[in-house]
Amino acid sequence: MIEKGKQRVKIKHKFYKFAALLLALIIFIMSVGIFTLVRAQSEITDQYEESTLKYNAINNLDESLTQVLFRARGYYAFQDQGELELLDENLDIFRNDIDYFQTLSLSAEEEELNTILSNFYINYTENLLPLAISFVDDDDYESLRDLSSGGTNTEINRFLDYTQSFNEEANIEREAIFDQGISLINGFTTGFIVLGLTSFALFFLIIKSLLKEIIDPLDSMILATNDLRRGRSTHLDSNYQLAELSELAYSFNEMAVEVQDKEEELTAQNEELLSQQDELEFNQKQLQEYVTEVEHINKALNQSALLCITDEKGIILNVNDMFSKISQFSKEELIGHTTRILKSGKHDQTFYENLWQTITKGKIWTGKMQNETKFGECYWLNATIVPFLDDRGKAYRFILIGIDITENKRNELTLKTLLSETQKAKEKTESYSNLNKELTATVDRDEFLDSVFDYFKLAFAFDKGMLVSIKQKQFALKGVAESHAERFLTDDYLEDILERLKSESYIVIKREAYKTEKGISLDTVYSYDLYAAVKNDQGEIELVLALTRIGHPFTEEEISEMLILLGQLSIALSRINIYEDVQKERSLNESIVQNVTEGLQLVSLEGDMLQANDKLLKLVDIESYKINKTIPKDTWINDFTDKCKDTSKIKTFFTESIAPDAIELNSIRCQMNDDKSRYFQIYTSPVFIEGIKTGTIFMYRDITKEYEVDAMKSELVSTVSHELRTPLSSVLGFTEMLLMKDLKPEKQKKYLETIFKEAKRLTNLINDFLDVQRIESGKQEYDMEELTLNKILIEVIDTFKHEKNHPIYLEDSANLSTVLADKGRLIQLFTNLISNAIKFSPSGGKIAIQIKNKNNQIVINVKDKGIGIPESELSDIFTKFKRIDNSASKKIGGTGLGLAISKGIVEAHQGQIWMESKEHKGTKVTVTFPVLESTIEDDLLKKEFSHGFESRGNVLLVEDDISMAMMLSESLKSYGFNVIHYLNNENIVEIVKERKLLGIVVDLMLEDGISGWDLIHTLQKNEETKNIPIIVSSAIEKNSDIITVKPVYDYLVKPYSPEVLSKLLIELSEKNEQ
Amino acid sequence: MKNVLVVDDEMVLRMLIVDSLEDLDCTVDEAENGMEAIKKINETNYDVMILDYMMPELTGIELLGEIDSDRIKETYVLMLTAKTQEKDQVQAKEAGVDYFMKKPFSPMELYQIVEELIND
Repeated sequence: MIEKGKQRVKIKHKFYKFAALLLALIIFIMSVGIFTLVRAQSEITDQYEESTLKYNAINNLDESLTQVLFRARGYYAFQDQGELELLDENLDIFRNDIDYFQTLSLSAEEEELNTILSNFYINYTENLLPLAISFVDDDDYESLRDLSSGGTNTEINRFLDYTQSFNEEANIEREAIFDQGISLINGFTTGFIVLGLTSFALFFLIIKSLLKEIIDPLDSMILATNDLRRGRSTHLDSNYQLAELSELAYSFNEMAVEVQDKEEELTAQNEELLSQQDELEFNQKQLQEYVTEVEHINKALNQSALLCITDEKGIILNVNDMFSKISQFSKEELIGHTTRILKSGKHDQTFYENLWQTITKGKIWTGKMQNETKFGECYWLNATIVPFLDDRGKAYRFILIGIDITENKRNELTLKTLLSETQKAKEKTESYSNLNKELTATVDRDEFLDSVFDYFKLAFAFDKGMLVSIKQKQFALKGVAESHAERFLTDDYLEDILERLKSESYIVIKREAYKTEKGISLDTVYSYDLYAAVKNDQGEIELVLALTRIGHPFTEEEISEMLILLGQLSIALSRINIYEDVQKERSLNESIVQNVTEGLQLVSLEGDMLQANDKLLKLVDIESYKINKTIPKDTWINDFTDKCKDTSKIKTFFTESIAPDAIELNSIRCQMNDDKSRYFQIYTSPVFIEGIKTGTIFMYRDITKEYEVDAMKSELVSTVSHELRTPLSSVLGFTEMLLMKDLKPEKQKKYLETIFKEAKRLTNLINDFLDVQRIESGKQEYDMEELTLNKILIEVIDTFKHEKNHPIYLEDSANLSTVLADKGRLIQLFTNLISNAIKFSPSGGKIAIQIKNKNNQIVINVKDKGIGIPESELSDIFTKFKRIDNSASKKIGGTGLGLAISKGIVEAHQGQIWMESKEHKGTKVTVTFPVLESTIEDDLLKKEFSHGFESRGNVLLVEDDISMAMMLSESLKSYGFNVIHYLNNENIVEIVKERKLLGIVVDLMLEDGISGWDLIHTLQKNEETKNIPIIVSSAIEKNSDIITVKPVYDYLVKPYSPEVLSKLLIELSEKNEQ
Repeated sequence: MKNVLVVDDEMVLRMLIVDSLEDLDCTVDEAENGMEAIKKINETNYDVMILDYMMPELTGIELLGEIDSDRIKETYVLMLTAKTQEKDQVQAKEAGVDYFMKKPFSPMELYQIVEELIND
């Protein structure tokens, strides 16, 4: 259909319209173009002409001016009147030219030039020329030259310049104009070509679109016609732009519709005929089937169904055999009765009303009904009651067809109960299996309680309750507040229950319900409390289950079920207990493994290292290994054995121990390669599980200490045995000689002396050895008391005063010298040190002992000038039996224990001892002791009385009465003197030479009958010492001749106060200063 | 005259040995240490050497190591030692020691042994 209201265009009109539009467009564009071209052309021509005129005018001006000047010069040169006339003529021409130039259209510059030219002309004709003429006439060329250089020429020159530049510009301009013309023409030519092409393209497009509009519909029309020819339904979209086509399409559609309609009509008629034929055939067939079917049905009905026919009032007219069989009424008993006889009374009144209403309305009723037999038994029928209707639609007969479904019904019921029971059982089983899973999997006691109780909540009905772990005081609750449960745990009541549960498997207590339990009930309500226990293997109660049910007692069945469950809990609990024990044991084992002092390592059967404790990794110094990380066999064996000295031996040991058939315990000693030169004992033990070797354990024990002790012990034994055997050999040997041989008396004496000496050496050795043992084992007892060290030193030195070759002096500057010490041991110490100094300076020499204070320490030096000790030996000089292994020291002999003992003694007194030495130069042993704290303050007080700390000088004290010497020296020290004690009588000069002395205090009565006078004389004889002032300290009254001895400064008679001596010395020192 | 060398660092023991051998028809030389002994061995052919094992600087065994092995074979070496262990003796035997005497020793026994060796 053509759409109404839409403007359609005819092809003809459309084409005309397009052609006209295109033509008009072309004409318009062309005329505009031509017009523009013509205008541009005339403009260019005008410009060109104007330029030419200006060019000519300026050239004329130029020429006429040149002429004027030329003529004027001609006149000036030749004074020819003819030239003057020509000049006038040319001036006129020039004037005309100017005028003409003025008529042209001029630029500003040209205008200015023109003015200049006009002015020049006026100036020239009116002033210059007459003046020049007059100069020419007067023959005054001088003035003429001045005139010509007066500036007129510049204007002329400017003009001439301009003329020239203008000519150039004019030429350029005209060329530009020409070029413009050419490009204009080119532009237009291009324009026309473009226009032509555009018009052609436009035309082509228009034609194309027109054709498309015509051809597309034609194509679709051809397709539609083809469709129509083939009998397919077709419809053309007639909504074309072009009117002719639209009409054509419309007509085509109309035609197509008409053709189709006709065709359909024919087809329909044909089909109708066919179906009528089919129907007839079908009806015939059906009728036949019906006949057979009815026969079958009748038969079947009699076999399986109950049939009953009643009249419209429900009075039974007939029943089949089946009916009487099921209902147990005979036919005769039924016929003539209403169906009421069959009713069971199980259905209510409405059921029968519905039924009756349905069938009386002529509708079929189907449903299940329960009837009663003659003997009152019920049976179920699946019944269909069909009313038979008369012509008026009123039922006059009812036929009941029923099938006995009593059995089905019964089965159904049983099934239903069964199902629900199964469902319940299933749920229970499921949760029970969950519980079981939980019980076997749980090793966490808390979790265990909760999950078990959750199951109880699910499986049994109770109102409140709890599951209590008696030992752990934990509980799982339902309907009970936690505080209440906690109270229950401490209640005596629980004790009673527990006591009863020991012998009874469960207790049920029936009691009147509490108010809270009873709720709003007015009657007496009873609650039932059930208690049951879970016992462990030892029969102790682990868990108590307490449940309360309000109103209903627990059934036997429930209780027995619960008890079974609790039995299982007991098993699970013991499993948890075992797990906890195992866990405890395991962590214990682990901490043992990690904390033992031995390195432990577990190696698999294949030899891979499965586990090692921290200690091991530290021992073998491979801390890059992570504990519990498997290390391949070769890796760890190589790493370990690389650290050993005897790599291949240890490697073999490892490999052999790892081997599956190695089942013996074994061990090996191994020395480490490191700088600590440690020793290990590696033990191996196979690991068996059920008689099969599953791996190997290696244990590493650091036996360095034991090894060292061992080595030391054997060395000690060998040394001791050697040391002992030598004197023993002498003693025994010489004794034998004495016994066996006849010897001269001198020899006998010599032998006896030797025996005595050697026996003494043996005794010393044994004593020293015992001392060392005592000191080292810490069994040495020290009898500590407050002692003055310098006094002890003097006493010890005194015992050595007979050493002729070793003058010993003590330089005392210690104001604090009180220590807490064992006097006997200190004497032993100093004796050792001094006798060492003497022993190891066999060729004699002074032994200087110094005692002084330094930082609350008493420092004592013993210095000799002996053979010294090689530096390499100094480090372990204090080790026992350490003697310098050279013949020089061998000659000296000794036990080699002295220094070890000394060190032991010093260390027992919180002191330090060390040694400095130079071979062949001498040795200096230094011992320090801490000053007894409590005396520090006293001594400091004492110091304050002293006169400053600066030493006033050295005083030599030759006094063999030790208490006197001490008294004097204490006083002197307090005055700041440095006291040097000297106890020997000989070698005094050497000592005196040693130091610069302020004075010497000499006791006149020295021991051994040596007189102080001898000393004084000795000093006097020596140049170096003769001038040192001497103070005599004597018990003898002085003689008159004493003072005459020159160096004796003063004579003090004992007893005198030590102050007196100190003052004397102060006097001396002051004198010295002056 | 036979020559005997006594090497011991202990002067007392040297004296004992020398005195115990004084009745023998032989010359007894003494050396205080290994170096001195080597010097003497190079100068004199000794028939018997009495060595102390434990000496500073050179032990008796070390001393033997320093001497020409042919010379040792020609000489009877008697060693005085406090070391009584089997392995020490084996080591000493290898070094050329012929007899051992345990310290403390009997001078008379020593006399007899040396006498036998000299007369051999």
